Amino acid sequence: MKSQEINTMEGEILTEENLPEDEKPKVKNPKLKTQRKFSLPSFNSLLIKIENLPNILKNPRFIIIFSLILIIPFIYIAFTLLGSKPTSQTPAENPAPEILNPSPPIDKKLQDIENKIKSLQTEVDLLDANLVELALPEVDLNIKF
Amino acid sequence: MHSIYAKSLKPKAKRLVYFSIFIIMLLAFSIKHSANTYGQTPFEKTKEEYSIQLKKYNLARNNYLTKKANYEAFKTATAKKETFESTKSYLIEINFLLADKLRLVKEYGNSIDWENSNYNKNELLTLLDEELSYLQNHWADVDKTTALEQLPPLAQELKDRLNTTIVAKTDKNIGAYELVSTERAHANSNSLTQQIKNYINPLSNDNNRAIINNWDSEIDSVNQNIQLDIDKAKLEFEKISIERKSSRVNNVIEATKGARAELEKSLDLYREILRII
Repeated sequence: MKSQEINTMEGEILTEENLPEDEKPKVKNPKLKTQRKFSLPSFNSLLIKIENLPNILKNPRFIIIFSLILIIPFIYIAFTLLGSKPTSQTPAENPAPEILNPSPPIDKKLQDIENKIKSLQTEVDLLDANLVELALPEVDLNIKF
Repeated sequence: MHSIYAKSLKPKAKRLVYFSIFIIMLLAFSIKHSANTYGQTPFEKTKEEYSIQLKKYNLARNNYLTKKANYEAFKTATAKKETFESTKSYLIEINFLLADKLRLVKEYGNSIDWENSNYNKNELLTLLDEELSYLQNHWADVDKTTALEQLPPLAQELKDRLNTTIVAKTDKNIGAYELVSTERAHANSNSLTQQIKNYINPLSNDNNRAIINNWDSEIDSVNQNIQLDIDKAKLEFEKISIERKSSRVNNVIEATKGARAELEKSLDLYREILRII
């Protein structure tokens, strides 16, 4: 087989095989990991790491991971707030307008009456609404063979 | 530039990105699902369950009709077996559909305000429980069947029960709900009438006295009509038997409809007097 016919990858393997012993890339010892022992970091290495901190913070990988970790609780809170249906809650009464513009007691009575009219209207409207849904269904039970 | 960053992400970091996306999606789904489920009232939940059951019933019915036609045309053993299975399934779906409807009626009863009512809520809801218990036993009987010939008598039994106590007891409950709700609305209307009277009487003067007096007599007449319709509905309600099917509940509904029309009239009168005064 001519060398031109060999594709790039195979070429690389062949080149690697032909290299002299000392030029061959060293295979990592798999036992290295297990041989590691825990030791307290030296003060100098800590100092170097602290000095490198600005570089670590600028690292795009670090930024992506950090922002993702930050986003998760925010999204969770947002969904929790959406899930709790804030619209169904009765809004707290704001006392400010009453203080600024106090209405006479007669208007309060009128407001109360108007609210009760609205509530009674809803009650009357609802009287009809669910009745149709309560009727029993028509089922075909004429099963004969 | 961005592609360089993407390439520089190690597999560990990539895994973290995928994991984060998965967690976000999981949270979004769980919260949306919980909001939908827990936001519903028991009545709405039962209504949804009934709708699902109605679809199942329709599917089972179509299957039953197809298999039955096939069996009647060919009369083979295989066709008979398939007809038995589809008929059994259809009978079970009918049973579940009726049970879901009874639960819906029951939940409606739980959702209305029975305070100051003359009717015994528990007594009425027990009537529905009795029918639910019957349906449970009937389902067990259908489930035990092994041959096609066993199914028509069970279907007939359910039909008889439906046309007697199931319909009658459901009607009794519907009639009671109608009365309780209408009486409650009438009580609220009476209280509101009094409140409006207390509000407008001090505002009475020579210019509006005639209007107020006429409004007063008109609203009293409307209230009397509401009471008459309620009394009529009560009489019809008492005639509803829980042993046999009848159309008495329609008379109750007709009478409460009259009361409702009068209640609408009273609402118009409230708005009118507040506009004038």
